[in-house]
Amino acid sequence: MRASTKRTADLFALNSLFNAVLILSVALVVAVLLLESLPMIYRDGIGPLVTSVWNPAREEYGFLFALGGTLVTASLALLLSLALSVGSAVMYAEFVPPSLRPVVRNLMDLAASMPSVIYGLWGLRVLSPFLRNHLMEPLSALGLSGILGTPSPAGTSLLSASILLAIMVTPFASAIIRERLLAVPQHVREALYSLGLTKPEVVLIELRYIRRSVLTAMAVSFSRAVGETAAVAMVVGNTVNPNFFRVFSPGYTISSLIADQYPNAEAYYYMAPALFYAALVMFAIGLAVNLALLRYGETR
Amino acid sequence: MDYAVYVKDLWVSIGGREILKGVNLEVPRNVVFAVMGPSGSGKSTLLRTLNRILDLYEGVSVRGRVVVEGIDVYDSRTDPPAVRRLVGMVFQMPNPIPNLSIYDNVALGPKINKLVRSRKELDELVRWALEKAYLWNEVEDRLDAPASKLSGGQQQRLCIARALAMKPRVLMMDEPTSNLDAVATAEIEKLIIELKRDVTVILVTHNSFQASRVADHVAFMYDGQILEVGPTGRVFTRPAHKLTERYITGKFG
Ligand SMILES: Nc1ncnc2c1ncn2[C@@H]1O[C@H](COP(=O)(O)OP(=O)(O)OP(=O)(O)O)[C@@H](O)[C@H]1O
Ligand SMILES: [Mg+2]
Repeated sequence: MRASTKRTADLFALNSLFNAVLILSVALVVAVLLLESLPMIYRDGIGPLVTSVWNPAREEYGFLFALGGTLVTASLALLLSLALSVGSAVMYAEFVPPSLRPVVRNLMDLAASMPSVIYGLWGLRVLSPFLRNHLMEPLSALGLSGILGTPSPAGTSLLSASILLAIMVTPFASAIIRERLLAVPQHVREALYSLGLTKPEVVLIELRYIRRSVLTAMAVSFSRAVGETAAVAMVVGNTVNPNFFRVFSPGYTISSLIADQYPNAEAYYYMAPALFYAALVMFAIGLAVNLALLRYGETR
Repeated sequence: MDYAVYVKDLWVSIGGREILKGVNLEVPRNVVFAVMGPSGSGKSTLLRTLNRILDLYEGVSVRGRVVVEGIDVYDSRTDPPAVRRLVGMVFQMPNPIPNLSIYDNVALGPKINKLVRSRKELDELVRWALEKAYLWNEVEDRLDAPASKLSGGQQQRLCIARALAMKPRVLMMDEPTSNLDAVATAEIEKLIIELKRDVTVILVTHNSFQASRVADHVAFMYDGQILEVGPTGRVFTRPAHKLTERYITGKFG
């Protein structure tokens, strides 16, 4: 009794230690971001958040276009991956015969572990031209370019980045949902079927039963989509696009802006602080959305 | 062949193991039909076969004929959900949907299957079912609480109410009073006898006294077969089979 109490206490202490280290390192990251961005915050306040000018020659850095690009691509990717991951998880749990499941699971794991540069190459050479030829050009021809923008010759665009992101985050989100769906107790499933419900009706109720895990999966998706850099930088077009909601046009996201611009930062006074400022904002968005989704999940 | 349930030479195997080995069964309409037998003899599996809940298991093979209320249950054209709407089931282990409220557990079936036309009708149906299951008084002030908050015996009665609310033609109850105290058990037995006016009840029970109190017919199952079946009085006073006699006198089981 004594010993086990002591052990619990030890474990508790260890756990607290880990948490403390975790919080400390996050605090450290935030501190560095904040410190490095201070010159820019001091000079322009929230100006960079609400203006879209990127003119290093005049030391003008308003990164609203990138902030908007991040929000637009991550949100679109979130919506798409919600459909893709729920759909694929349901297919897996309800329709793939158990004998085939290991194969499908390995394929999904492979997709999850592929380096993002490979997604980027595929996005650049296959996805973007395909979307340009079969989606963006036809819709533009119908007169939608006024609202949705004009595609670039290569098809690199905010839309391409969004779809690529959705494909990239889906294996992770799908795995979370799939495992929880498989863990719905058999007796609950039997109860549902015994009421004469059809398979789709049962699946809908099961999804409601695991909705917290769906939200967790979405939180994971959003963070990854916001932070993803290499692949996005390759397909988003890296163009200052103040009309970031025109998703057929090329644009920037915060992460691709940093990757693309930081190498030049040495040559200017305020570019590095501006990029750190942007990174700080990106970090805050990811954190806020995560907390909001998880908090929302707890109340349901 | 006007039976509520008619089973002819039914063989069921799960994962290559024979569980039911040539079951024959004729259950007339509007009776209480008790199925008794030692643990592992296949009673629950037999019930799962009648409403095709067995379809949810891996590696199941079913041979033979099952006819419920005129529907050929294993005919390829038969829609399993349609069978299940006709044949209600109260499972051996209480299995409420844990995240749904008490109200919604009962309302779910009638709502999705559109058995009611208005919210008021649904409210009335839920109340009726909960009253019949002798649970209403305990839950009327917390219908919105999650079902998982109920005690084991309350969950069992909730599952009875859930099955009743579907207004099935045949109601299968797998040891429906195993978690209940004497008072609640008596109420459920009263309900079972009363139900027979409208439905056919198939009752699995380990309790010989319960069977003799409520059942019109008794079947005795042993090792995947029905060893003996007949009117309750006859089976209890003059069992045809030695094993039946030993079982009902409590010598094994
Ligand atoms: N899903 C399953 N997979 C494999 N075997 C099973 C499965 N379900 C039941 N069985 C086997 O079938 C046999 C009959 O089980 P069943 O649950 O029908 O017995 P029962 O008569 O209801 O017993 P009890 O009185 O203990 O509830 C048992 O030997 C059991 O191991
Ligand atoms: Mg059983």
